[in-house]
Amino acid sequence: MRPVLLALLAMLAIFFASSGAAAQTRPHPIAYAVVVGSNPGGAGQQQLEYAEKDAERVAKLLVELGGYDAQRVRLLLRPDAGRVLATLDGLKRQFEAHASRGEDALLFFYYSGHARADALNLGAQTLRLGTLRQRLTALPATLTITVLDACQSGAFSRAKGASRAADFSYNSMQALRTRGFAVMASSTEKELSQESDELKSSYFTHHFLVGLRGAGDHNRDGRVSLDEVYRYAYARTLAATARTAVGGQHATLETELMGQGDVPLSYPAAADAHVELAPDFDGRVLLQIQPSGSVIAEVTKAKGTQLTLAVPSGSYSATVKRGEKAWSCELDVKSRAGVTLDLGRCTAVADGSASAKGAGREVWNFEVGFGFGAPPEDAYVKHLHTFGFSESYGPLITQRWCEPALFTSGAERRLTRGLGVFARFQIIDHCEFRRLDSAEFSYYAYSLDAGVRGRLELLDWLTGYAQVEIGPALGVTHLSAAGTTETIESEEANFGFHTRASAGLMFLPWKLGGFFAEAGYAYAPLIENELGDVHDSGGFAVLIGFHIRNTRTE
Amino acid sequence: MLEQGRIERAPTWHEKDYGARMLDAPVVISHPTTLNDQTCTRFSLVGDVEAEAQLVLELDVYDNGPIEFEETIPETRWEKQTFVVPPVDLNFAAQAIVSASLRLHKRGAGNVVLARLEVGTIPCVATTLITLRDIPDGEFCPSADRCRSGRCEPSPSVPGVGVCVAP
Repeated sequence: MRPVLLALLAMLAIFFASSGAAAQTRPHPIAYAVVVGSNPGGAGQQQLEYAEKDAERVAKLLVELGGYDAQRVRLLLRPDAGRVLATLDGLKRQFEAHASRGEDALLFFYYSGHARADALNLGAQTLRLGTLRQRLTALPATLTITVLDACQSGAFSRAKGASRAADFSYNSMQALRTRGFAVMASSTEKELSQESDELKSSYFTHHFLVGLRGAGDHNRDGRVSLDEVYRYAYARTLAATARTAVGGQHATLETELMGQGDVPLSYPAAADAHVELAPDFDGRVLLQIQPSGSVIAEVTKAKGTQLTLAVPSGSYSATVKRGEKAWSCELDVKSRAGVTLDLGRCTAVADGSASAKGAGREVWNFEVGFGFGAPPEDAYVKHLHTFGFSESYGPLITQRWCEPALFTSGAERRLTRGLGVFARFQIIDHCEFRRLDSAEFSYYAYSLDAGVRGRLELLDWLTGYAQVEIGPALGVTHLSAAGTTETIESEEANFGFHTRASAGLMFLPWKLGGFFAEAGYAYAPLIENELGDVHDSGGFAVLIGFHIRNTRTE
Repeated sequence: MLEQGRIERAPTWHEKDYGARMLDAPVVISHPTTLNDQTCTRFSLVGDVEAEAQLVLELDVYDNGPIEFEETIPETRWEKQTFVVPPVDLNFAAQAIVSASLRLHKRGAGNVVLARLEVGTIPCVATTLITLRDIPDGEFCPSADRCRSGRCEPSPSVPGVGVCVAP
């Protein structure tokens, strides 16, 4: 029995020792972090807004709440691939030194930026995931935690996209049977990750950080573990992105901790200051640092539990929304103290001032363009030739074709991801003629169309579309002729309709939009002469122009 | 120029781009031209011509009355019609030219609106030539029987060429 008793005592000793870790300020005896943020995208990728800021926040929080020594946190902003790899290589000697001394050493690697299926995009350079994996696994770290918030350019909310998580982690697992390894990714391989203008952060990194500040402390032991922060970030990211146009975003976590147990990532209980939400508080809270307005936390809390958020001391504003009601509160959080958010000391505000959750949604688009048309040479035009008229020459015309003077300006209302309606004003036809007797004749044709447009997103920055439109049209003719006894000036209006079927491509590399190019065929029996000929102002036409996106925050 | 009858302004393809309507019958309008033995005369017309109008293109060499060439204008509705008048036979006086008058003669009651009339010359190889007869005094002549006066004397200014003279 004695050996059994001794073993039991030993286990209790280990248990109490590990419980004591809740109060320790260092997640691991030795912890290094490489934190990378890169806003620029590669070819066809839209520049991100908050990737580098997110990296700065992560690095700061690791020191503030993770117990990392600031000297061991490498913050790389907008690096090239070589610098990332060189930083990892530089750590190799240090990890080897720790390993030779029998010391455990942890590596935390974070990346926020663009990615494609198999590589991170560091501006114009790419860093293949296989290469990164190889360098990370080459480090003799006891535990490696990799967090990827990787992005590709996308629609208005700067959708991020990558399929790197499954690829990275799957292959990583095969090579990491002997050490602890965890990969947390901001979305699945088939999803896009998104940034939020309201949060001024990516959804994933924001909720990852809020979770580390204590919102993710599910068991209320004063520290937030890898599993806890994942569960928090997963739920909050999915809830926040479900209503965006890009769609719900599911964070992923794959671990191979090999006896590492529950890995703590932060220790909010040991923080310098706190904001507390009492058990009976419920609602959504947006907590912003003053006077910068930076969002430090956005949480939704139900009644029943107390929520403690670790924050640096300082001034904060909190916007609370509960149903249709909203409040604004000013908080002064002092060092070594906590402040409880009390709605009784807040000011009720109009609902609209409480920023609602959600990313911008593309609602209205505007277009302006110019084109080249080739109206059919019909009986109307042939009779003009018969009566001695010839097309005037312009800078880009031939004798047979009229001046390219098509113009379009309109707006599109997105109904769904793939369907929209639009209205546009167009100059659909224009031609000028002259005769040897100095007579001049010209016509313009205008239309005001309404149409339906179907879209198909081919790439994040490339959308194909097809559309049909129809609307009233106006044709205006002008004849001037100087005779021997009188001068004739005549202007006539003809009314008809215009309809067109067309297809095109939108090149949308920027948040504000991009370019479009379309081609189609139109029919517009509009201008009529005294002989009964009706000119078709339609025909084949090509339009190019600007497509301007207008997003709305919900 | 209007030689006979009446015309009025009439709309064509555009209500303000006017043509000439030939009223009643007969109506004759003419255009002076010159002829030689090397080129054909091309006459083009854009108009609205009814068959009942009996519109005829006439050529009066020397503009002295007799019609040396005529061709009926077929019915047309604002399509361009082109007619070719053969050269005159001037082999007795190389490189000579003669004056003539091209006429549009409306002889019937049908409607005629003329929009565009064009006269020009084109190179041609004609199989038939217009034979000159009843040549007025002072014009070159091959023989006395071609002269209105019945007299064809050697030209004092052009050796080897005759000229019609008064009896």
